[in-house]
Amino acid sequence: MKKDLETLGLWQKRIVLNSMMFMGAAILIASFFFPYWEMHMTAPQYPKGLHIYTYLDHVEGDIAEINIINHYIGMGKIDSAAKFERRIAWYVVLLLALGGIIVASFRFKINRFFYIPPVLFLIGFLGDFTYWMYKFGHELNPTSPITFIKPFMPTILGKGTIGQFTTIAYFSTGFWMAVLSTFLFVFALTKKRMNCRNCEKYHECKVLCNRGDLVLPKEGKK
Amino acid sequence: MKNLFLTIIIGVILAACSKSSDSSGPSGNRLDEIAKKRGLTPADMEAALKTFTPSGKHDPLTMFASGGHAGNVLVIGIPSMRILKRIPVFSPDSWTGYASGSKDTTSLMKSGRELTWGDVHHPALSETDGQYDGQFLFVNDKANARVAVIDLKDFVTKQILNNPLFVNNHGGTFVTPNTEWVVETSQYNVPLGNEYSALENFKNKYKGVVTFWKFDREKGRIDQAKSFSLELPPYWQDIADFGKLGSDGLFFVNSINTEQSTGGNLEGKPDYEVGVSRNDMDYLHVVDWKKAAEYVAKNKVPEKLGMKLVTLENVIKQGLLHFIHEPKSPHGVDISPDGRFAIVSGKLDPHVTVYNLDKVREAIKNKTFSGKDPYGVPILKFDSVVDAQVEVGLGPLHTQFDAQGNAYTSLFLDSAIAKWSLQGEFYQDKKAWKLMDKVQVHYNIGHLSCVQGDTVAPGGGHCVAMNKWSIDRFNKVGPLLPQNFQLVDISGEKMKVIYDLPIPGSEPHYAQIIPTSILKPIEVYEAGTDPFTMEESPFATFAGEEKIVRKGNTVEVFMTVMRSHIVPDKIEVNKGDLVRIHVTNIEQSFDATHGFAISGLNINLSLEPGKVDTVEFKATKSGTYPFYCTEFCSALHLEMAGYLLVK
Repeated sequence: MKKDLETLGLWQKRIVLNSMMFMGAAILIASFFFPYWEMHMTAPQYPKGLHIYTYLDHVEGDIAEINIINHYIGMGKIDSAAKFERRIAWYVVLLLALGGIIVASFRFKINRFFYIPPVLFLIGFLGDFTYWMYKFGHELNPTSPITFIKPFMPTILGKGTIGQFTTIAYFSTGFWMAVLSTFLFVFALTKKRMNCRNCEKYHECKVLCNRGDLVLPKEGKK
Repeated sequence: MKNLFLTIIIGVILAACSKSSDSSGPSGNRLDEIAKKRGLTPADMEAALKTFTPSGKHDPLTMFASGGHAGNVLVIGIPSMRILKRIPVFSPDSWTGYASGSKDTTSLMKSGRELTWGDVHHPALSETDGQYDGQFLFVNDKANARVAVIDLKDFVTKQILNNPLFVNNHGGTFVTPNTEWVVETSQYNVPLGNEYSALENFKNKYKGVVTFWKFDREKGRIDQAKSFSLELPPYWQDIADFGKLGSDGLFFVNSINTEQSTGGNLEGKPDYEVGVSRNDMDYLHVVDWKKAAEYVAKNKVPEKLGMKLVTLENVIKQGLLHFIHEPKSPHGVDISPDGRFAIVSGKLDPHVTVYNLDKVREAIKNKTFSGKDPYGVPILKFDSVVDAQVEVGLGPLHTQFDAQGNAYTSLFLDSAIAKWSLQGEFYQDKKAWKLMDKVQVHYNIGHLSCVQGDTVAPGGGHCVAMNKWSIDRFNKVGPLLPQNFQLVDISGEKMKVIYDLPIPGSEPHYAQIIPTSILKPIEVYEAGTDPFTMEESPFATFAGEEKIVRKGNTVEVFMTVMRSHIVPDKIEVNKGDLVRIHVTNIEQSFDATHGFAISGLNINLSLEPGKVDTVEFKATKSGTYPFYCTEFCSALHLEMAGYLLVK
């Protein structure tokens, strides 16, 4: 792809790179409708297993049953977690996607900082998710009936055991879509910047570069 | 020899399997060792292979068997013959919380008559185009002339109807090929409405009645207002069946006491068993129910005790009833799958009599009568409608069918099942009406039930012999013995008994077998459901809404149960209060059922996930009454308790 890009004219480059930005925005929006994280729990009396699907704004799966099991060890209700984050999630995603579209459509100086928001979004999600998992695993009600399970860090990735349950947890479709979207943003932006740095002709750069990226050619050289 | 051969093959296959997959698995030698140790013959091993169903595997067939005078229905898996459920209908059942404290099911079961038991004889699955559709099950109560509707969405009894005209039935329940009507026929005749009249008035005051209950499939209920009855002569009507395909529109019922014997053995008159068996012939009743339904729809039929009743005079005048002679005191009348034949089992005659139903229609049309009975009912000429009399053995009772043109008749006195050929697609001319095989069953078989064996499309493969006596079949358990359901493999040329299931309930009568795949039961009720309406109960209580409301002397408790607590867990009332507790199981997990029992007050509810039920009682005695969950629901099940305090 890199090689192909080199051979393209500036207008074609612009179309390809901006399309990547648009795609990134679209994929990010779509990711909202897919689970970011899944956990599958098995125990002898649950031959079909119990399943949690965590979306940006809600959880699905056997939530009622898992809440019932969790209450024995004094864990809070899954659906009570990250209420604020879940409420703003849709706006954050929309804002981010909108940002991508703006960056692709207009040549603002500030565009070149668009590396930061999608990466922050991913880090933010991971951090917040880990925080809530930690909080749930550690803030066990001390008056709960079962006390032999001590506060613990729930497994976020991979295989774990808790009580009679074996759990398998992993980041899922939505998360990987967000990663892809971030990659597309970052790749397109980087590619643009590289082109702009190497830009030799002002009128050509005007097509591709942001205002801040423009290096005006020196009088003499022209 | 064949069995030995089979054993060797099985051994070889198993040996091959054990080599390829699991080296520690059983080998042919090992199987022989086990068989030798347990004293099993090759035939036993074959039977075991045909019936053994490993843990987690489901039965492809489901049987609904009457529970007799235990007043319930048994659900049994085939071929494993595992009992899966008891559905209480006419008798209380504390497991399902049926009439054991539950306000609604108690009033349903008592039927406004304070009845606490019934005698279930003939379950009938709802049908579409003459085939079981797996939606509803109907049963009769022979003891009290009741009919019940069970919804197979949740396998729960939803409706029980009292017949206002008579108090005892036997010809029920049977359904029309599209379940528009559910039939119930009186047996031991009484004057209408069970009024007093001396037995000397038997011929005039005592009445036979057949009731056609109108079933509303949408509502899943029988509509009494649209139902009707026909008066019949008092001949002690027996078992019945509906015509199908070509004979659709006709209904058949046997009679056993055309002698109109009225007993009196203390006064030196003959016992009923003698008096009722005096005549060589009784009457097979042929009722044109379609014509009757049209007549009732078009004419203003007077009501008797809240039921439209066409008098015998009118029944005869409208041509709704004809008789045909049948060998004395017969038992079953069963219609062949193609609808062409009615087969009447002799009981006291070693024959089954085969009536050609095309010829019956013809004879009715042409008025080929040999006479009239004393009430004026025309009698069709026997010879003009009978195609064959097949000698099958002693004490023929009931007949079922397979898909290959064979009929299977239970023989009470022979303790056997006879297989014989019907005339039709599979057996023509000389091959028809022949006894082909007989198998011994243990002992005194009553009904038999084959897979979809009374529908237009029998499934074949298996029959179940429902034996009244078990004598030496099982471990001794005192003088009252279980009945014996024997699974019979009918897939080969020779019938084989391959499994015995003791029924530790009561006298089971009829059963029907349906492919399990046709049944579509729900797993849990939607949250807050009243099983009677299948809609949200006005008393549904959800988490956080629990409360105790007092109005005068009535205390109403809105309670929830879930693993592992009852809310509220303390109820305080005063002596003399009327206490109503509405309990909602707020869980939605499959199998997370809770019970709700109050010690000393004769109360236990079963609360399946989502269900709402109510207990109502008067706190007549002050005291301390613990309540608790009776289903072992969770590790903290014992802690799922509370106190009712009556001050």
